[in-house]
Parts: sequence; C-alpha cells; structure tokens
Amino acid sequence: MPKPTVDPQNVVDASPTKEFFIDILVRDVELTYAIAELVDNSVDGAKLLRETNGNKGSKKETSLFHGLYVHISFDTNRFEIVDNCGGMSVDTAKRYAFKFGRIDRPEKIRRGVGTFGVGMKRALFKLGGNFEIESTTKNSSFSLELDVEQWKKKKENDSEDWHFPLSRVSENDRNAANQIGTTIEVTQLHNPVKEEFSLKSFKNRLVVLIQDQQSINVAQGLEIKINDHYLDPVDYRILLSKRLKPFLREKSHQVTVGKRKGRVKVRIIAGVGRASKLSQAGWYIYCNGRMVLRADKSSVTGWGVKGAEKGLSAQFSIPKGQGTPSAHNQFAHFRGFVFFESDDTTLLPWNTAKSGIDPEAPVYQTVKLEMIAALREVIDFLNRLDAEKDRREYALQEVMDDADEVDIVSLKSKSAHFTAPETGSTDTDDRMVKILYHKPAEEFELVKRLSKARSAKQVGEVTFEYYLNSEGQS
Amino acid sequence: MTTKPITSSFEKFHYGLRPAKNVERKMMADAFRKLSAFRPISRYQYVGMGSLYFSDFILFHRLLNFRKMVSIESQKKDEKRIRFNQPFGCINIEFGFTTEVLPRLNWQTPSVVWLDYDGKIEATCLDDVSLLTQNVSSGSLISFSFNVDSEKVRFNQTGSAKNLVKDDDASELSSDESMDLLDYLEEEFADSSMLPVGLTHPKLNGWGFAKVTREMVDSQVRETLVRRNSGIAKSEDKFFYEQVFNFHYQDGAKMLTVGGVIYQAKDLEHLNQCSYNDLYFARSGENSFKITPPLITFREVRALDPFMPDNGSKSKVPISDEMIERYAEIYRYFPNFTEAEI
Repeated sequence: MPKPTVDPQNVVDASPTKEFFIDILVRDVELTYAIAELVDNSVDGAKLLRETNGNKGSKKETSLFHGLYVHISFDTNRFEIVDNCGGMSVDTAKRYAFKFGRIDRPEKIRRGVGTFGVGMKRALFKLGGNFEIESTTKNSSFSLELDVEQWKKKKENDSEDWHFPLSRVSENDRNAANQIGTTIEVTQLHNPVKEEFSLKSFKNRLVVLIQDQQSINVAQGLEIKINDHYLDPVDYRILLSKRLKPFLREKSHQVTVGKRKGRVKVRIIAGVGRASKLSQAGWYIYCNGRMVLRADKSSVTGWGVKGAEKGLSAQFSIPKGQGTPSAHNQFAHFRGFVFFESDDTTLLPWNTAKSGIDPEAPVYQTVKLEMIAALREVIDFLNRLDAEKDRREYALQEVMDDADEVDIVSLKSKSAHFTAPETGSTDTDDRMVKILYHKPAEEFELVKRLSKARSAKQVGEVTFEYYLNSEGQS
Repeated sequence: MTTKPITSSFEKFHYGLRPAKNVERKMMADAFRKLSAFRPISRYQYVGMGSLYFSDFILFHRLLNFRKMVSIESQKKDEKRIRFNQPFGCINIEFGFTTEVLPRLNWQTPSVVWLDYDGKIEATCLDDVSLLTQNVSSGSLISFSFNVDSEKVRFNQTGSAKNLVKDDDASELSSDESMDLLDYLEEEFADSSMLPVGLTHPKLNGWGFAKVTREMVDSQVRETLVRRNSGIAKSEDKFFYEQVFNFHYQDGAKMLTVGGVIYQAKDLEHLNQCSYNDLYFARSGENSFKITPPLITFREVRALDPFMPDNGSKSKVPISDEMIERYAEIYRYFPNFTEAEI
C-alpha cells in the first residue's frame, strides 16, 4: 500500500494540551468554591492595602476593612465581581496572576489567603468562555480580555502560546482613590453554570459558603454583597465566666513543607455555646482568617476516636476504649475554634481547593491531638450536664446561664484547660436506677391524661412517686 | 371528647367538613381534569394520603375516574379500620412513611400526586419533592400541602429537631420544650440550600411562612430538574416545571398547597393545551390564590345563586358586598348538602 502523505499541520493540533489543562483545572472544583477563590483574591488585596498603610491589622480591629467592598452579581448571561480592594499591579498580573505554574507572588501579604496561584484562572475558566478584567492600583492600571476558544487555538512558533495579553497597560500613574480596584466580568457562561445561576438554591448555597468563609473579614468591616444580599457580620461566641472558662492555647509551630520552612501560629479555643443547636456544634477551623471547616463533627476533627488508637490514651489520659464519642444531640453546646496563621500560605494545613483541611499535614496532626484533648474536657462537662438534667437538677445549667457570651476573636482569658464546676459528679449516676417497662398505648394515654404528665418519662416518675407516697411512708 | 386515646389528627374532626379544604379539593379536580390534553385523565394514577375518610379519593374517583389509586398511610396500627373505610376496590393502601413508600411505586405511569402533609415542612418533605421531581413521567402533576401557621409552633427538642410535635399536642408542652420557628427552620434545613438566606422573624409572620415554604418547594423542584436534565442529551427530552397551585387557605391553621406539572420540552404543546392560564385560581408564581369561603347560610346561598356569577350585588341578600364577592369567587365549588360524602 502506498504510504499516505501526511501534512504535519493536520497532525498536531495545539489545542489539546490547553484543553486538557483547563479540564483538569476546573474539574475538581465546585462552582461555589471557584467563585469563593475570587473573593479570597479581593480579601488579599484588602489586606495588602490596609496592612501596608501602617495598620497592623490588630485582631480586635472592627473597622480594619471599613470602606472596602466586594460586590458579586450574576444572572444567566453574565458574572461580575467588582471590588475597591487596592487593585492588581501590572507586575502581579504579569508574574503571578496570569502566569501558569506556581510562581511566588511578588508582594508578601501578611496572613494572605490567595494561595497556589491557580484560584483566579480556575474560577474564570470554570465560569465562561469570555472574560474581561480591569484593574487599577494607586499607580498602575491594565485590562485583559480573553476569548477562551481563540486562546486555546493560539500558537507561537508552532508551539502553544500560553500568554494572556494585557492591554491598555499604564504604569507610574497617580490614580484617584475612587478608581482603585478590580472588575472582572465573565460572559458566554458555560451551560451548567447558566443553569446553576438560574437557581435560587445556588444563590443560597453561595451566600452561606462565603458568609462562613469570610465571617471574620466581614466582622472587620469588609462589605460583601451577592446580588442584592449583603452578608451579615456573624461573630461566633463562647460562654465565659469566673466559673466557666474555655480551653485556650496558643502556640507557634515550626513547619516544613517541601523546601519551605516557617512558623505557623495556632490558637485553639474550645468550650460551650449558649444555644443547644447541633447544626452549630463542632469545630470551626480557620487559615489566615478564612474559615475552611464549619461546625465539623467528623473524625477529621477528632470526633468518634477510640482511646486506644495511636497511643492517644497514654498521651492525654483518655481511658482505653473510651476516646471521644461521635457527635449527637447531647453535645449540641460544643464549640471549638482553631486559627492557623502564617505569612507563608503554603504552610497552612488546607487542601488545594481551600474547601477543607488536609488531614495529612504534619502541623494539623500535631494540633489535632490537642483538639482531641480539648474536646474530651468539654464533653466530660456536657455529660455531667446531661446527667444533671436526668436528676432534675440545674446547678451546671445555672453556671451556663450566668456566663457571658464572648466573641471568640477578642477572647483573652487564658486557661490551658476547660474549667467548670464539678457539681454533681458523674458517679452519682451509680446511686440512680433506671426503670424501663412497656405498657399498652391505650392504658398509657389514659394514665398520662389522668396524671397530667407531659411525657412518658413523666408518667413513669409521677406514678412511681404516687406509689412511694402512699405505700412507702410506713 | 371520647375517652379513647387520641392517636392521630384524623380522629379529631372530619376533614370533609372543612369548607376551605372542600373548595380546594374541587378546584384541584378541575385542574387535574385539564391534564387530559396529555392523555385521557383516567389513565393517570392518583397518589395521595387518604387518611381514614378518603375524601380526596372519593371525589377524584367520582369526577375523574382514576382507575389506579394509591393511599399512603403511616398509621399501621389502624390498618383494620382504615381498610374497612376504603371506599373503592381500586385503591391500594400502602403502609409506611412517604419517604419509604414513594420509592417503591411505579412512576412510569403518569401520575397525579397530592401529598397533604398536614404538618409543617420538614427535611424529609423536600426529599419527597425531590424524589417525585426526579422520577415522574412527562405530564404528571405533583402537589404538596403544609401547615404554615407561624403562631402555633412547638417543637420537641429532646431529640433532634426532627421530632416535630404536631400543633394539636403543642399545648401540652412547656415553654422550655418548645422551639422558635426560625430556629427550627435553620436547624432542620442546616444541610439544605433550599431555605432562603436572610430570613428574619418578621418575614415569617402572617402568611410569610407560607411564602417561605412555597419557595423552598419551588427551589427543590427546580434544583432537582437541573440534576435530572444533566443526564439528558436531547433538548426536547429535558424536563420543566410549570406551577399551577399556590393556594392559601385557613379552616383552622393556615395552610399552603403548592404544586404543578412536570413535562418534557417535546410535550410543551400539550401543556399549553391544558390552558392553566384560563383557570382563575391557578397561579404560576409567588402570588397566591386565597380560598376564603364566606360563612353564609344555605338560605343565603340559594338566594345568591340565581345572580351568579356576575350580579351578586343585585341579589338583595343582607350580607356585605365583600362576602358576596368572596362567594362569587368560589360559588361553583361551595360545599352544599347534596355533596354528603357517604
């Protein structure tokens, strides 16, 4: 057979690599998390702006970000995020934001949250086929418009051209304060994105996610708006009094990840909250002020761990076989908070999508042991509280009622252990006997009505006391 | 009151005597009949919760001739009595909770579904909404009724929020066993994105809770359709939802009925032929139709009818114009003696 003639131009299409790259990039990230990355970028801008302006970003500061905003709006045709958080310098755009592969960000942002250098690109590719960016800083500005389909096809010297073309670049300017900021608009939305954007439930999901993630920044004055909804400043609170003190430990860890070394500051708070709500109970974990886990009650944060595992029992005097229980309603008052802070974001124990903890991160494994110890202390108290209720006593409940609710960010009182009164120690349970028996429902309802009892338990107690009073006196 | 233990709400009063509910049922029958634009209505199966009285089953079977009817009944212990009260042989009673029964029914058959929950919206209700939206065939109608009274809320807090206590028993609970409605919703739907963001107590007042409940059902239907359609390649095969019912009514507690037609793009013409726009009580969006039958005597009814529908004010019946207007709005469906459901 004759050898077919091959035109090399027809064999190598430049687009598959980019196509493949984009596919990998966007595949594993949920749309809400992709958008959240854009908010993180704005927050980094805000931090850079305010912290280099002489403000050291004190934790107590409630107006650190006053006057700064991030506005997100979307419908089935377009997505837009507009902020006035300092803008992106031309240098950052060229060397970092639109560069592929991991390159260090030129500016060092104290406690930044934009990491891995992929967040923005991932979000843009995930959203649509055309995007337009305009950014203005104090002294530079640029725009960038990209048609993704055309970009995929673009080649230079027979190899793929990965550049994002900046236009209208202007440097060494003096831009007015009200011009400073970044606007990103995405059009030609992908069909699945359009469909999500048409759902009210999608907006609910996005609001709840960003509300959680950015709660500390919103509490510090950053205005975040999603369509017409302004996020509320939610501050998480914990009970504090002379007799009831949360577990609070702060420690700086030396951390090594690959070739990178640095310090990670860790602050652990564990105690009880006023509301008995299971949906709010659990661990809240923050990396540089950005929440990555909310009200977690899984084994990732030390729930349901067997005492005998990994020598925990020896280290933290957890009785063998006891460990920590799985979360259930009895522990609905539990609140735990862990803050990881580092100037090098790659040392923080979050996963690449920043949607959770990397449980394998060494610093997290160390901290987790302390979390388990803290959890154990609070759970012992909650068990006592529960036992007390069974005896119809309210001493511990009163201790909780008398305590103040304190904002966890400004919590100062240091106590390396959770402290609470011992009133009604658990071993009094030994002197109580539980009675369990079955009766026909019809008879039960009759007795319940006659005795005016409200529950089966009360029926049992009332009838027992009735017998005790009439027969037990002699 | 009987000395027999009170076990379930249907023994407290006869549902058939609730006038607004009675009117609603007949309006729904009219709306169901319009589904014949898709196929003869008698070929549909009806899935409902017949309770002990089967009021909806009796009415719909008589008017629409459903041949296959399924009643979901959770009170297994009353089985003998419920079977005794079963009005027609074509009714199949399935015992269990809706979340258990719905998955085992055959949804290839075009269906008219009315889940009259009687209680407040719970997370499992949205599971039902989702299951139906995911499975019913084109031209099916799904509808749901909820108690949306925000004033009488008591929730048992001993277990999870799921141990919801029916209003009827609420008075027996002390205040520390009760739970605020907003707290309940936030706790019950903490893992769901159907609860609207930014809810406040004022937004739940009056008929506010009805609006929130409707929005949650609507959001669940639409989200489930996006998931269902993501597995469908041809655009003509994709599914859509057209709301038909958004009733507000109140015999005792405030109630909401929300529902509509699930159809495929290729059947849009059939849906248009149903002409739900022509039904004056049909509602495709947030605005509700309020069913408020006036409390008037049958003597007044007989005097008003000759002037219906347009000239009620000329009837000289000594009741207010407002009551006459309310009567005119529902006179065709007004409960009367000839409808004794025996």
